Amino acid sequence: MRADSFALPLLTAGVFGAMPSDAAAFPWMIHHGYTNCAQCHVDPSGAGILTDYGRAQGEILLRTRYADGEGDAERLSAFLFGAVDLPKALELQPEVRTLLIPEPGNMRLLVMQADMRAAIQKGKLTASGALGGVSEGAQEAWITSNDAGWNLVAREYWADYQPSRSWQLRAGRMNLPFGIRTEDHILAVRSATQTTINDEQQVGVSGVYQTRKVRAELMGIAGNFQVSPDAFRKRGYAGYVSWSQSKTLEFGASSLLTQSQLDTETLAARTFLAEGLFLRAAPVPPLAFMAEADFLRDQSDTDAKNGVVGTGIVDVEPIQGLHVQGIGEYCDTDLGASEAAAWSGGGALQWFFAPRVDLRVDGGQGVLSCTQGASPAPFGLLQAHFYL
Amino acid sequence: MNRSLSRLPIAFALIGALLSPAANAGFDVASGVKVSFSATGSPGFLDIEGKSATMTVADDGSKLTFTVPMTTVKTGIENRDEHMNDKYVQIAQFPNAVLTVDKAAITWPSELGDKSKGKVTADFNIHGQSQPVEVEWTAQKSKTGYRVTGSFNFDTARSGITIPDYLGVTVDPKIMARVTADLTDAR
Repeated sequence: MRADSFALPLLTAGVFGAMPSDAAAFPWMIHHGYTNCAQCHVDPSGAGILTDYGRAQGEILLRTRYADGEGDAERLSAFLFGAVDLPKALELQPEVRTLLIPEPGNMRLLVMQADMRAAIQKGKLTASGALGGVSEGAQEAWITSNDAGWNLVAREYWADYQPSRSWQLRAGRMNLPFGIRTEDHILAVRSATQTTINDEQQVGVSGVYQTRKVRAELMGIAGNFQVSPDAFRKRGYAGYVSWSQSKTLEFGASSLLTQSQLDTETLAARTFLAEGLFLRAAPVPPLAFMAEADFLRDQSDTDAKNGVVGTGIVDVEPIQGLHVQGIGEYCDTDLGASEAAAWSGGGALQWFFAPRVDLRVDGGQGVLSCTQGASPAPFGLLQAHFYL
Repeated sequence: MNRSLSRLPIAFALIGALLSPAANAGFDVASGVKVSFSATGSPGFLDIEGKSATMTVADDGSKLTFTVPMTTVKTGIENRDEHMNDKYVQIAQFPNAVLTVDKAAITWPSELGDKSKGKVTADFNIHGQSQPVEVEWTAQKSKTGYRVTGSFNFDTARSGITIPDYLGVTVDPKIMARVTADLTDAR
């Protein structure tokens, strides 16, 4: 695409700082009958390092298959394609995601993720973590402080105890359990609720409950200890509960409440509440539908705002591995203000064209990341992602 | 593999229908066969369902025998079907799941639209090994025969089937089988 054909003013207005994606989390897997996340991800609520089973599904279900008998899925999905045998208890996952942003007169390349992920599972105990680098963005996960370039990031590090098949207890820095978990961080529902899996993890303790029909997680938030001083740290809770009517239909509700003495943007005390509903459905085989709507209340010492945000996504997989998405969003973070609500409409094409590799192109018109007051503008993005 | 078991419940229901007033009737499957075997995997309660629309019934006057060819049971993922058939159910040696029901243990309604239901202990054979199962059945009189349903639980471990374990996901050996079919009365 021509750089000058995509002005992308919205993105350059700081939205790009939120662009980096962390890890794959594909809520449209409900199209394949997967309502739960724990088979494929070490994190029971999804995203992040894959289990052996999840790596195999990446080969069997996720990518385009060009012919019968292309190779053994277990070997093709193994760490480093089976070149190194890992101990059964250990998972390793080097992972890279890059983003190309066409800007006027420039093509901007970001390394959104260059992580080494690891997990150790032994009996009822699991430990998982990720350490890597980013060329820009993801400030809340920084463990270095280089404003001009690369930084080390640690998005997740947690331990898990599973006393029974249905219950898990976790502690550490974790993704916030809220709404539809997705790699798409610029979605308004993720941005507006401050629950992206890019860098908005928090340290805390959570309980996870899962059955065939129900999945739920409730987390007590102690704060982001990669931000200081302590006055900036948010404390509160986040959680969701969902019900799967069938293998292809899931309803859920989420709630989040955080308080901080100082907000990193406004430098004022802040109380933030989000309450929402979400839906995932696959009514017919090639089609998946996801929607989330959230109510927001943002209160400081001197001000209180009520808002709403909603996202709808239609995903069609015409051939295995190729996803065509339509995405519509609406976001109004201050219903009492005269500023127009932010909206966007667009599409995405994502192709898992080879083992562990996918490309994604996004394009559309509107305001990304729920940036109220910004003018709608065209946008375009190209992502490449792979893991070993 | 477990799906063949689900077909067994259907067979049970059919058998039951034959056993009642029409004890010596000759029943056959006409249409509407739906067989499902439901299993769960851990971690994460992976929902696995195998389905088939193929089942035969044999009636020797005292017993009804329902047979589901395991090759017709599909889980929706080809790779999983191959593992199920080759590694666990071993269909080359044990191609069918078979449910055998005593006809006399089932009540057949005689009036059009009437429905009966109950439980019957039947024999379920998969992987070449039999186990007793309790089948919950219904039978409804139709113009051409009976609409029957059945469901039962079985344990793959009791049939000598290795507990499926694929890359850390283990399938619970307790399987639920469900069957629906329209039977004709060939008397």
